[in-house]
Amino acid sequence: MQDLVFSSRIIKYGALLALHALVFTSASTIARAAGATQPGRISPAPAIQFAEAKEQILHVGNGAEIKDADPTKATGIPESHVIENLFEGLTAHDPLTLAAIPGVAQSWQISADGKIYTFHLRKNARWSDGTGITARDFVYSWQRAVAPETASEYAYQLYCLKNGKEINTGTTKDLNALGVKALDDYTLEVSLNHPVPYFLHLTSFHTYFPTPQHVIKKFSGNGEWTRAGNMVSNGPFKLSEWILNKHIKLEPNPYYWDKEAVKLSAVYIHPIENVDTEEKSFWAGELHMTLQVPLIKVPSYLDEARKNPRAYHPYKMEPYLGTYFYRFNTSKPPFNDKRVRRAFTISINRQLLIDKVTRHHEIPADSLCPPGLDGYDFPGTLQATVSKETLAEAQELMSQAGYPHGKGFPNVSILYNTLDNHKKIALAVRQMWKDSLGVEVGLFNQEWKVYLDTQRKMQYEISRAGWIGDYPDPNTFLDMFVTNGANNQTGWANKEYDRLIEQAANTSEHKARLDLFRQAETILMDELPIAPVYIHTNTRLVSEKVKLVIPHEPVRSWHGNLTDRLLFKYYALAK
Amino acid sequence: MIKQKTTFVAENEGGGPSRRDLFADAAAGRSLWQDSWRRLAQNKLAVAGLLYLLLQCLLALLAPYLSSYSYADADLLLGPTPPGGEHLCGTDDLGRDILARLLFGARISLAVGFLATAVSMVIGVSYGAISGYLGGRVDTVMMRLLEVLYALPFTFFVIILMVIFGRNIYLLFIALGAVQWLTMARIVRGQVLSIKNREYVEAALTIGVSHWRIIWRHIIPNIIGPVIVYSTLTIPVVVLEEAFLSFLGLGVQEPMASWGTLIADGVGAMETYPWMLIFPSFSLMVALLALNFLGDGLREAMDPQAGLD
Amino acid sequence: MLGYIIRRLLQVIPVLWLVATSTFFLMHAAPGGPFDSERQISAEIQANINARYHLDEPLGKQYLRYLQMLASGDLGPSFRYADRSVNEIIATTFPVSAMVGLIGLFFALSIGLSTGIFAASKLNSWRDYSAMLLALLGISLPSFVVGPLMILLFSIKLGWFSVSGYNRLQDLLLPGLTMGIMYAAFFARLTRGGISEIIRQDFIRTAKAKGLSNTVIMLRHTLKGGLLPATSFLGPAATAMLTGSLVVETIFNLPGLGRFFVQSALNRDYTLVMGCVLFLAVLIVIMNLLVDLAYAFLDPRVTYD
Repeated sequence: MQDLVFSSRIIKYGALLALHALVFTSASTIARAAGATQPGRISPAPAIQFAEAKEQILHVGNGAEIKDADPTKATGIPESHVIENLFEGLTAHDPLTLAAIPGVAQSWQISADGKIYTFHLRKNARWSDGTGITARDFVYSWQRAVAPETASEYAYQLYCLKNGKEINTGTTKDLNALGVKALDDYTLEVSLNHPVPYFLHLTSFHTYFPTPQHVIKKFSGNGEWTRAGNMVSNGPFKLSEWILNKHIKLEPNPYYWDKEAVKLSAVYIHPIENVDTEEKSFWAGELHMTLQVPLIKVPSYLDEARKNPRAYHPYKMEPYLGTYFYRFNTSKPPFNDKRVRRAFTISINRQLLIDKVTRHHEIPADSLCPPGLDGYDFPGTLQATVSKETLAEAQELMSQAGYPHGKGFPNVSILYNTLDNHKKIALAVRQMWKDSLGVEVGLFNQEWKVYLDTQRKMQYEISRAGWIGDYPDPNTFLDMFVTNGANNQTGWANKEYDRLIEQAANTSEHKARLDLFRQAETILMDELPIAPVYIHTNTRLVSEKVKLVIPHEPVRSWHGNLTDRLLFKYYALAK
Repeated sequence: MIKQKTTFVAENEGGGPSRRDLFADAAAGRSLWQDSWRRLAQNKLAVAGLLYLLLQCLLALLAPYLSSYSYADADLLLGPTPPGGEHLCGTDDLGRDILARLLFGARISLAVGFLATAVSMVIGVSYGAISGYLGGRVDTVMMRLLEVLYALPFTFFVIILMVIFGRNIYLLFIALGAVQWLTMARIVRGQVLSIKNREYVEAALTIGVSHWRIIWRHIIPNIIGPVIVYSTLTIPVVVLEEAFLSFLGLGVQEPMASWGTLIADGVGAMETYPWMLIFPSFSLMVALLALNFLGDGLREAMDPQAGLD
Repeated sequence: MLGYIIRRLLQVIPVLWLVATSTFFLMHAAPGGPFDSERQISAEIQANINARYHLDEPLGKQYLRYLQMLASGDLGPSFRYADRSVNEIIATTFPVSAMVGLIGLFFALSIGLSTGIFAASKLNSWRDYSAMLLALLGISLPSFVVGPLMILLFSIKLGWFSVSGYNRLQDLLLPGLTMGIMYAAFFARLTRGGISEIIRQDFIRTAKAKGLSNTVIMLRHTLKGGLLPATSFLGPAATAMLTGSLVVETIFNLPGLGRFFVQSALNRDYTLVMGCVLFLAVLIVIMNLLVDLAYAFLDPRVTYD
């Protein structure tokens, strides 16, 4: 494995781009080539020398071994890191803004009522075995996704298609009733039940990816088609090795329509579950990027960055489309009382928690929805710290509810799943409640599946929770709390809230729709069936060598995005 | 992963009369004990081990009075502080006093060690004694069953039990104890078998001495030595097993601590806050050392042969 | 002798049945299922999944279905690792664990036996005490502490091995050593104990009286009997080492079988749990048999029929 050096000598100031190096940017771009020192901030820097083609081998840590590489059936973030590089949907992600950009579809039209989408496929899109991709491949894949026998966990992502839900739940047997038609080889018509403003985001989500009918049929529908050697994909990379718990190796797909954009000659995706091992592996030069950073190491990384601000620091921190919160069980005392819920919610010192415990510069949550939801913004009311007035209010609320200074408060516990971070947060929040409300809260740690079960059966008082948005739209967060929603799990029910969410789903006008969501979140933040804690950030260690090469953009240092899409198509390694 | 820790198979199980029994018969039960005790007292390491363990138990019992800090109270503003000053062993990353957590952690770790071993002793001794004393077909069946049980991945079952029933501390005692009794049963059975077949025991039976009297006078004094010795060897194994479960996050429930959970927390902080690892590891290590010295001392003290060298 | 071996091997059948039954019902008693996730799926989709994996059938029927499958040597498909059979997972991961285990066994035996003999060669001397103290340290440091310390020293500071995973065979040395150290300590203590027991016996005294040198006595008489306790520990120790350790394989990120024992239970990957546990049970029976045969070789008083 080559030696990675984390010092500034990688960037050779003023050096000319060596002729044998890959030439991927125009001369003028090179002149403006940038080496960002801070995420997002671009400072002028000299040209970057890229590694030779055969050394363009990226090593990435990816947490637990992936469950599945079938785009239709997979769930989970580590899976998406693999699948989104193997396959490509009708639309793709802009690597920085995540806006929908043309993928297999070159262009599209949307009907006036927002219910009919017509996609025009590019004619040079091919599977990695050279077979051409047609609109029928999409019809097949989407029908397969909703077919009950496929048993895809993410089938509900296609419920907005006409008859999507009906087919998946078995009320309609005819797969051809699904709202997707191939008008000809290169034209796909999609009919939706109601306008879906984020539909072009959905088509870049892996459940909507095309799957190779000719290969899946060859393996008579069983999953062996996803093995290395069998799998045929249509994205920038193809699967060349998959050794369980060892690594997954991706190589460029020679038939990819935009193969010139791909700079890497191989990507090794390493499943490393232990965070400490992953970090050590990074420092030993075995990884260019980690998935996580051990919590306990963060202060020393931040110190290092403070002491030596001009040097390159591998510790990267990006905002993330996710919220960490606590659920209250509103179906039984004491949390059936809105006053108690509010007292508990406002007496969490979010800033202190972030500074001293979670440490990844998360954003104190002032409401449920994180920033970055397609123009949605909600004037949150929750405070980052606990002021004297807030403390007084919380104590007053507890008195009103019949628990002055915590007297007579029943035994309650925070339920959390076995993980160091959750444990520390619970310990800290417990202390805050003890200090400010006089309530002694217990901790209740359960193994993951047991925790999910306990939470689902609502056998808890307070439970830690988190939600990561699938697509940048407030709906992905707010429809969680509709009455009896599968992911509500708080027992909270509010008719007005349900009505607003329902109405928003049928509104296509952007501003009016956001306004409906705003009204809904106002109710949610008044009732507080949940206590938002912080907005996630995504942190990882990234080698200075990792660069982003985006067409029509200056070369830049590695830069994350809001939903943690790792699009290796745009990655390149500096020397 | 599966630690089928065992197997100090009874040295005389293979047959042949053991010297130990002959001596036990010659000297009455009581004076054997006095002899053993005298030999133990002469073994300085064993005495030191015993004293240290007593001290550690005392410290654990008096924990609330010894530390001015609570094991549970976090001080986020303080954060991790190195040892010295107000916090003798420093504080962890949530600002909790490590000394206080060590003292309280000793309670859990020692309790797990002793109680789980007691559980294994109760099961192992009864199983082995019944099998050995009744003999015949019962013995055959019970020993076959034991062989089958040896093949069960018990540690795995403990993990599943902890997963299903949560971190119930009593369950932890019982589960860990239930894993460790197999070898104990074999040792006891071998011992009982060899005593039972002595001529004088058979003679006693023919002249109508009751079973209880035989068990009480001849069998118990003879098995108690190996049982105690094996138990002192089981305790460290159980304490480490608890540490292993803590590493998996299946140990005691926070904010309570055991040495195992403290070490598991400390491992990640190895490079940044080394005191979080050093103090708990040291506590565990010294306690296990003390136990081992005591165990070795007991083994030698209980073996009359040792005195002849 | 042969009859004895056959009888012992036939034991595998009741063992497997007992293990399969207890594990099956224990696993299904655990809350949660293989397809639970933070994102709660709707009842309809759950029903589709249950139907596909026969999870909608009564437990008794699932149990019989499993036994039937087992009888034909098929351990079924894994729930967690889509479209991989349990047979395949065990077949690909066991060699890695076994390799680490063999290295571990080598370290455990070479360090353990030599330390034990060294200590026993002069009982109650300073070398005895220091060797035993060392062995105790080995026992009392959990492998999840030793492992990261080793990585820090040998992989990061000295750069001799890969931190994570293995690319070369030598990368298995560190995990093997980590695993071996603990068992070495046990072997050292058992060897010392066994030898000190033998030394006191009459025939050794006789040999001494006859004027045989210490070395000859040690090699010819003492070792054979003195190794008995260590031999009986070899069975369980070898099984545990060969089937891999969760801790060692997680810390060194090795694609071995050891991780699956616990992980599959946590994932509620029913078939994989069963497969791992059954595999382990068979291995234990075989190892115990081998040990008992070795016992007969070392101790002439022990006979089997």
